[in-house]
Amino acid sequence: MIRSRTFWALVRHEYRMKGSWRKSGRSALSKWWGAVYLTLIAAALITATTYVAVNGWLQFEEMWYLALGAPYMMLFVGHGMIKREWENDSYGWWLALPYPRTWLVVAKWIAGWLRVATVIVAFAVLAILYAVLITVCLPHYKWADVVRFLEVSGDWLALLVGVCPILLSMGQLLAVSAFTAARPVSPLLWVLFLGGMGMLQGQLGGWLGEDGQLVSAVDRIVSGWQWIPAVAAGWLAAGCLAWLSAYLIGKKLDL
Amino acid sequence: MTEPVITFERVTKRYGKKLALDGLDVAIPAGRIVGILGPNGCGKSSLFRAAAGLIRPDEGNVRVFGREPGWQTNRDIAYLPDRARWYPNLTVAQTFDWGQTFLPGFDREDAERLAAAMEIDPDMKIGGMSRGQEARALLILCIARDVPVVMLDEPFAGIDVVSREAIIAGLIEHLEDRSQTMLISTHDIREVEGLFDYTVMMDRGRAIWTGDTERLRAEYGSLHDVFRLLYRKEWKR
Repeated sequence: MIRSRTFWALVRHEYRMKGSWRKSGRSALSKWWGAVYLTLIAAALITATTYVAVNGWLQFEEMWYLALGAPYMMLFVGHGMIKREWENDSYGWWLALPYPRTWLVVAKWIAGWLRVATVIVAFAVLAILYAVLITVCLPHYKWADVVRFLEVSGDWLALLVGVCPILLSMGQLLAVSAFTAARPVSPLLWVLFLGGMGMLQGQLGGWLGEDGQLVSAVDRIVSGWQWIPAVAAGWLAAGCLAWLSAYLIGKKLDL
Repeated sequence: MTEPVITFERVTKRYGKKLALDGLDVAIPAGRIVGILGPNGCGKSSLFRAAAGLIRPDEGNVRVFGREPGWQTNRDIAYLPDRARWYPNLTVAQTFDWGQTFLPGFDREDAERLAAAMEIDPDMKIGGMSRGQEARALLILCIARDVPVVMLDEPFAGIDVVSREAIIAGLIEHLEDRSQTMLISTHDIREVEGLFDYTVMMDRGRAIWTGDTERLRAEYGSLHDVFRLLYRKEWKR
């Protein structure tokens, strides 16, 4: 019982952990400019979306197209959570912790999953609030559009939750491979994983239905009978990759 | 001699073509303050990493309390890694919280007492500290643990004189009432040689002299003189 409490404390530590020596070396000015650019990008996105909405061209569900970048975010979250230990020169502490290596890897994996979920749920909540606001303010939008958007949001959330574990594990393995005896295959893994993701996204066109809408393709994917087995297989593969990462940092470290 | 807590038997470790440990044979006795001494690149950090289970030898055996080193044996070892740093966004108090949660035998009260003695503000963020202050905080994270073995890999490297003195004072105070085995590696022994009662001199991945420090001093003079004598060739190159 105590040990399982310690595991969840590890997850909490990883979830809360932020910052690195590399980033803390940035000047206050560059941080300020970073914040300015982010604000400008967000303002431009909101302004453009509102302009499209005012003209009646916006379909709320199209806001989810922003999530097409989410798989890359998941991959890099998994990668970054491991790599941070080396960036911070804290890897010695992390690796010498008196807990199984699978704990160390899986704690980061769960924390990464929670972080991604936080971002995606926050996006979903803001998008829904935005849709409600637009419907209240603009007469040509109906509440039925909001209801439809909620249904579509459920589909996208299911899709992202389903693919997140394998992408996080792939990112972790990419980071681990760089610091272990698997270093020679690290470039190959990058090409394989990123190339595979690119090819899968390229195939999205082939999944579009007669209406040519990505939204309905996502709906078909998550409501099809293959979805549950596909997610189960993906999660199983994620578990295998996490085990492989743990094995590599346990037995094949190259310090 | 008492039963050794850590043993290396013909241990070899290669990094590519570089031989970090070259048939290392050494036994670390229990309850001693052991100086692991030698020039840069002589294999000190590889010895510590192998004892902490971070790296596996290519040949030979490492045993910690008679077992293969790994996460299980690390319950009984407090290890300060070489050139280790800490998460910059955590405060010292949060760092001690981390120690209390994850490090068996971590004594919070002892850590706070040591922090006060070494002039470390618990509310200070690690990211806002000097390297010397950070090194003191990390040393506390190790020595505030009530475990049989403490391993400090180059705890004085890259640290100003004031911090170095604070660390040595903290170590001496700590050692007064403990019966731990402590391994301290350094390539600069002038200020610390009085700490050690057992010495392992390393060169090119091997232990070239091992034994009681008093015997070494009786044979050669101060450890500093021994160092100069044994590594003269190294320095001439």
